[in-house]
Order: sequence, then structure tokens, then C-alpha cells
Amino acid sequence: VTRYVAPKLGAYTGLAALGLIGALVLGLPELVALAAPFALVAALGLATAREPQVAVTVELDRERALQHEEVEIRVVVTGSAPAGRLQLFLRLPEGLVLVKGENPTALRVGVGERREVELVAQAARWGAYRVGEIVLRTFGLFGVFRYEARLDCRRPLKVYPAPEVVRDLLRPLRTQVFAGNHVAREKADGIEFADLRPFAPGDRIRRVNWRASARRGELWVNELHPERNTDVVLFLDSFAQARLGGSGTLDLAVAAATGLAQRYLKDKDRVGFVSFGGVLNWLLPGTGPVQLYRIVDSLLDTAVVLNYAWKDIDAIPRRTLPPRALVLALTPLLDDRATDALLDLRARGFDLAVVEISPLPFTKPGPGKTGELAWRLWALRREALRVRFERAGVPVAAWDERMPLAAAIEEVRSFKRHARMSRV
Amino acid sequence: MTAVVSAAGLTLWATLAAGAGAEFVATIGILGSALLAVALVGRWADVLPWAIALVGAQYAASLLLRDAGIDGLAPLYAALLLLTAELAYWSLDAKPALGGVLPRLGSLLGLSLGTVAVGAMLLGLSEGGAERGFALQLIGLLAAGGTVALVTWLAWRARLR
Repeated sequence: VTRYVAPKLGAYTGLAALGLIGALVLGLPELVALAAPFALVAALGLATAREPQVAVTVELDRERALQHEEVEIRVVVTGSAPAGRLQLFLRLPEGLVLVKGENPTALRVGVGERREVELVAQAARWGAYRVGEIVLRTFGLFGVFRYEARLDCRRPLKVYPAPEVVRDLLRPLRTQVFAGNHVAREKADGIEFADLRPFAPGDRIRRVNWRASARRGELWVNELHPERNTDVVLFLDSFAQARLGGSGTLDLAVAAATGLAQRYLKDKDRVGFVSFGGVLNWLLPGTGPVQLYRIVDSLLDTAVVLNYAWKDIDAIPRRTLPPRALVLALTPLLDDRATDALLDLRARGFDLAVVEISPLPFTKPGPGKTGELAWRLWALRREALRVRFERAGVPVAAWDERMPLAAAIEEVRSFKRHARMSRV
Repeated sequence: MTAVVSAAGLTLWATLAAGAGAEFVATIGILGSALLAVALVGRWADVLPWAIALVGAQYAASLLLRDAGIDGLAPLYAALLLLTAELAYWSLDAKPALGGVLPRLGSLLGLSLGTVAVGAMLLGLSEGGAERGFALQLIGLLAAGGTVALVTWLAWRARLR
């Protein structure tokens, strides 16, 4: 607890001194009566000054919440010495908005008394928060001292991003070796019919296609496509973001990544995660609900960290990007390092698709004709960048919050349907 | 705002009580009230004591000009002056309404009434002091000096702690 002397103390002491000296010099006893209240308040204020002793705890009704959900915060104040009138302020982290309750608030706490302050905050933004930084302020009985304390009663609160709804997923060109939900291009044991071929020693009798065999006079067997899983790596570009008001491209990318991870994991695919930016963060591909929690926790830590170091794709550990994996990049295409890294990935033969989180809704042309011209030139350069990706055989679909993510995914799918693999 | 109105009321009181030379008293009072208003609008806490001192000085001036024995209403004037100062400091608070206006107003009125009683007692003691000889005047002088010294020392110690 830090004690501050209120400006009133010095002022009242001075006024009392002035009144008493005036009374003596001018011989006016009334000035003693005039000075007496100020001297009395100052003296009583000094004599009754006691440091307040209170214990404060913060309770949250839950530790995990979804974006836009409300969280109840209860601040419990217990007094062990007379604290008088207390002013209590709960410093809410940026991203949590108070929707119910009074903050700051005033309360009176007696000895052994327990008072509760109930507040309701809405999680406006996803993230890992720590709620409970309390600022307490109390004034002495006569207001000549101010006591202030900053208490750290923080409790963790994880706010998960509201996932984007995705129905149809983007399929990798090649599948992995484990069983899954995707029909592989290879021929092996499976359900989906692939082709017919003449019987060879070792073939199972139940794979013989009797109708084709009867027509051709010799044994023919069915060839089948097996059902395999796929590896998907969500590549989040966190070098830079465009932000306007309470929303930005990173928020959209995180919401999209959450939705995609959820959907791929539901299909028994292995999903990995790479946050490529000022701080490199990665997660090896895995499967199951645990992996979803790991990915979401990693996403919560994602932030744009300013970094001038040149980073290329070699900075990412090799195991993070397994062969035959689909790399699905979520990027605003604002930083050359991310762009070059993605083109480098493509050059190394990775199956790459780019969902461009469009920064255009978060930007405004500069003032005047020059500003507008510069903005248009910038937009044209972005178009050229998109063409550069498409020439390299990388499908690019622009997505912003005004359209569903499914539309962008469908755009990428249709590109992949009609495109051929190209050498770069 | 209430503090400025209170200071203006005190100015009017002192001016009406002054009789001859009321213009001089009024000038000091108006100056004090204006300074108080400026301090509150500009939120300059350091200017407040000077404004209060000016409002007190106009009362001293009115007493000097009137020259009609001890003013029995002095404790009331003192209580109102304290109330003006308290209201002025209250309005400089970052959140004046925090904690409720009525409880604080009640405690301010209680404090003012208490100071009226103390002032009246002091005034009663001082009545006829001049006729009781030099020794008593010396005791009064020492008491006044001692009070100022004590409060200053306490304040200084509190600032150091």
C-alpha cells in the first residue's frame, strides 16, 4: 500500500498558520475561530491516519469461454482493519468489455466484513487473458491521505475464437498411409471401385469380378481405391496485419484456422499448425480432440510481433511439414517474407493453397487524389501478386468477413479441379 | 459550482457586515471567488488555498473596518469557509460521485457543525483576553505558535513516511 499526502493537508496547515498569525498580528480573536477548523481537520486527519488492511480475491465463473460470451467476475473484499470508504477498480484486459456492473465502484468495508462486487464482462476478442488486476484506493477519515494499492489477484481466462463454419474441405492431392475418410488415388484394399485387371496369382477370390470374367472368358479382378487420411498444415502468416477498429486480418485468420482445424480433425485427418511471423510457433501434425485443444491454445498465443529479421522456410522444423501434406496458408499477403516463403514451399513440391485474408476492408485510401492513386496502385500490386501465385500453380482465394469461408474454400477447390501441376 | 456559490455568499456576508469600506471588502471577496472559480475550472489544486485565503482575508478586512467588538458569528463564518474549501477539493476528485453524494455531504455538514462548536468555544475563551493582562496574551501567542508548529511537524513527518 502506498500512501500519498493529499494537497489538502498542506493547504489546511498553511491556512491555519495564516489565520493564527493574522489573529496575533491584527489582534483579532475571530481569526483564531477562522483558523481553528482548518487546524482541527489537519490534526485529526493526521492523528486518525491508519493504513487500510483488506484482502481481495477475484473469482471467475469459468476458465474458458467462447468469443462474444459473457463471463461473470466476482471481486470479494474482506476487511481486517477499518478501511472506510474504498474505491475499487478492476483493470480489465483489452479485449474484455464490461457489460454489467459498476467499475470503478465504491464500497464501505468494516472489520471482518465481507463485501462482493459482481461484474459481467463480454469477451470481445479471443485470447489468453489474466483477469484480476485490482487498484484499491481509500482516503483517510478526513481525506488528508490517499492510500493506493495495486493487487495482483489474476485468474486465467481463455477465450476461444468463434470458429468459421466450413462444410466442404479442401482435399490434398495425395493421401497418407493411415486409414481415414478420403479416397486415395492409389489402388489397394478399399471400398471405392477403381479399375479392372486380369487375375494374377495371389489375388483373392472375392475380388474377382464375375460378370467381367464371364464376358471375357478369363478371370478379371476389381481394383479398389483405399480410404486414407491426409496431413494438413495450417500456415498462419503473423508477420503483419491490417486492423481497423476492433477487428483485423489476424482475427479472421484465427477464426478461419479454428474452423478448419475442427473440421479436418473431425474427418480423422492429421492437422499441424505453423504460425510464421515475428515469432515462429509450430505444432507437429496430430489427430483427435487433444490436437484441437493444442491448436486452439497455440492460436490464442498468436500475435503480430514486429521483427525485421529475414526468415525463410528453412526456419520451420522439417517434421512440421511432412511430405504429401496439404499446406493451407491463411495470409493477408502483406509481408514479402511470408510471400517468398510460400512460393518457396511450392517450389519444393508442397501441395499449397492460399486463402488470402483480404486487408482491403481494413484500409482506407489516403487523403486527396495522390492518396487514392497510391491505394489503387497498392491494390493493383496485390492483384499482380495473386497472379504470381496462380502462375506457380497455387490457388489463391480472397476472403473477408463479409463472405463465408466456405466460398473461399470452394474457389480454391474449383481452381484445383481445373489446374494442372506446373513446374516452377 | 456549489463551492463558488458558497464563496460568493461569504463575500456578500462580509461586505454587508463591513459598513464603511464595503467596496474594498467586496473587491477582495470577488477576487477570491473568481480565483476559486478559475482554480476549479482549470482543476488547479495549488491555486485553491490562495482563493480560500482571499475569502478569509476579506472577512479579516471587514472586521478591521467594522471595529465593533468580537463578532459572535465568526465560528459560523469559519464553518462555511471550511465547507467551501471541502466542496472545492471534492469537486477536484477524479470521480466525485463515486461512493454516493449524500453520505459525503452529510459527513461534511457534520464536520462543519463540529467546527462551529470548537470555534464558539475558542471565541468564548478569548473574550476579554486583552483585559486579563500580558501573561495571558503571551500564553495565547505560544499556544497559537505551538499549534502551527505541531500541525506543520505532523504534516512534515507524514510526508516523509
